[in-house]
Amino acid sequence: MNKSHDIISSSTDSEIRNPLNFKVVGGEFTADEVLNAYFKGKESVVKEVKDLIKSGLQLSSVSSNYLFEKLKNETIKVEAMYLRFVTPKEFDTLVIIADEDYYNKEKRWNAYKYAREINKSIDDLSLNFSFMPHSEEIDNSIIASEGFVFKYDK
Amino acid sequence: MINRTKDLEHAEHNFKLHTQLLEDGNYDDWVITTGFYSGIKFLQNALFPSEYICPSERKMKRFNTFAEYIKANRSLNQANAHRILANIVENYVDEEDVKNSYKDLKDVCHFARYINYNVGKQRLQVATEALTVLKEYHDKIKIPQI
Repeated sequence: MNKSHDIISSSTDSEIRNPLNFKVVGGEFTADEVLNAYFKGKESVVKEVKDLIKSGLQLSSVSSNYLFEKLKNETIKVEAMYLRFVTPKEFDTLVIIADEDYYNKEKRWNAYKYAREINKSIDDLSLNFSFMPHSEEIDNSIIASEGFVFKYDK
Repeated sequence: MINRTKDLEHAEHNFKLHTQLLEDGNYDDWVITTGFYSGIKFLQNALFPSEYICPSERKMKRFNTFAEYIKANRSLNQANAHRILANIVENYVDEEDVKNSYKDLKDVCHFARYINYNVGKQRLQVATEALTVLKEYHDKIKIPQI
């Protein structure tokens, strides 16, 4: 097992493993695998990158929690949220909204507005909020395979 | 007279196919995909040439095409064209309906794979309405008004 894997797998890395109210999902790609893929070949800067990801994950998860509460207060029902990192300073949150709220243009565009307000309050990190309607046909394994391995779990 | 750029020709090419597939009624997933690739080309043509902050030089600079701007971003190893266009739209477009419509179209298209492309008529409507807004935005900027 390589050094990067040891670092990522360490039980002390609670910040990476447990961003606020998000749990790891997806059978084919674990958080460790995604992180290891990223860290492969970058051992010389691994600590710096790791610290960036840890702080980015925390800020992204806190911001996503805030958006969840904001949407809830505005009676926009969030069915699920997934989080991933793209680069150490770029994160994505996928927000899955109840169909009746998503297909209400005023509510959907209000959700965009709240997401923008949160984006404006964040410095030194890019957090992209994307939205889709809830559907019984959603394939969670595909979502996980694209790196969304942290699922909101509150 | 309208300037016939490669981006515009590509946008119209994709829009023509989008319209044909929409009329056919049997390929909703491809209607959304072609609509998205038409919409982003209309946007790219509407937004260039113009001045934007050059990411490598950190100052305003004129870019003739979206491809030029992508190249400048590539020097910083940030070359995802969809993310770069999304950032331009968010930061430089004033019209809320254009920003929201672009987000509608992008999200509906990108996440169709999460539902195995069974997009349904409601998503289709979101996409077609969004494309209409983007095309009107393009035409308002680029087509001389009589």
